[in-house]
Amino acid sequence: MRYQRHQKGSSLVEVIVLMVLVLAVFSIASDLFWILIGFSTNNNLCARASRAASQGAPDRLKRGEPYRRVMSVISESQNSTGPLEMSRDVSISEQLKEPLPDPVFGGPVNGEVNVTTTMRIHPPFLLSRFFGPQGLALRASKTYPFSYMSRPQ
Amino acid sequence: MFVTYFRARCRSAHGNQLAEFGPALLLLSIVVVLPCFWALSIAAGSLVSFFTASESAKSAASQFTYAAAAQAAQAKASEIANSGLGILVHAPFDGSPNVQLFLAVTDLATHQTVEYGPAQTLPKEVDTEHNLYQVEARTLYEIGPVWQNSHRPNSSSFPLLDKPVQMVFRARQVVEFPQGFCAPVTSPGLHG
Repeated sequence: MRYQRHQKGSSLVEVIVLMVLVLAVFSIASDLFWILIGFSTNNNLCARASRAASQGAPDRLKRGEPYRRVMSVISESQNSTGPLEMSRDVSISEQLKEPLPDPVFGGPVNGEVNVTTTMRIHPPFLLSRFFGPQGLALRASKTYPFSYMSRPQ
Repeated sequence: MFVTYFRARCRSAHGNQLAEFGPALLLLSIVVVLPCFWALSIAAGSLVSFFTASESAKSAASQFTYAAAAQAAQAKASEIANSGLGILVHAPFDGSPNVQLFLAVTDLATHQTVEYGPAQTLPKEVDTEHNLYQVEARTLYEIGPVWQNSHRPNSSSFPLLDKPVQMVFRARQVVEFPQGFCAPVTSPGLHG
């Protein structure tokens, strides 16, 4: 005797399987959307922070000045809650060409400053399993030439 | 005999899947496809609006004077509104003016920011040693309701369902030459 599978309820099973798949696709799309937003935000913030640092005195002329300027831009997005977390770990390096401006007469600073910022993204749905509690760390790095003019004392 | 004939006759199972396909497709389009299109149109409008704000801020930040910055921002907004993307999402988003310019002055010591604008120059003298000057472009994007329900007497009660919702997109850029963004100083000595 040939066994026949019962057909009743098969549509319900198909709908549920399909809904699970659709929900998975939507949640992954939502996670990817947040990663894209985080990438763009981090790039924009890094560019602005680097530009802000290039307008001030370099670290060799005024200790901590580039960091102060960078943090004034970074702090705008520090209070944001949600999947995007702007890290306070900022890397700043500068390359100066000699000679530096004379402190008595002043003058332009010749060189460039590089700023690297890090944004941690915590995807709210499925992809969070892959990145763990630390989230996905995205780095951005921008370099701008100094436009600072040292004033004569 | 007539009754027996009809009882004995079963509905043919052939073609029942084809008969279900039409209503299923209709339901799918109402429940899934149309909301997806609606969400996509909102996403595209929002992205173009933010892109307009970002590009306008970039253009304004590199100008020498506030008037030139405002002009450059408007020109960039018009350029994007007349491009293919802008036409696709029905830009300009809120009529005229497309972009509002604000100036944000951040104290480097306290990180407190004071905003001036729209269409307002810096009231104080520029001090780049202690302040950071940024130009902020804002664009307004109006998301239309799901359906136009003008026949209801109380039709403006639910945002996004009955009445449109306005979203403001903001983008900032560091001003390259902040001295030009101050109000013009007139020298009293020149004209007596």
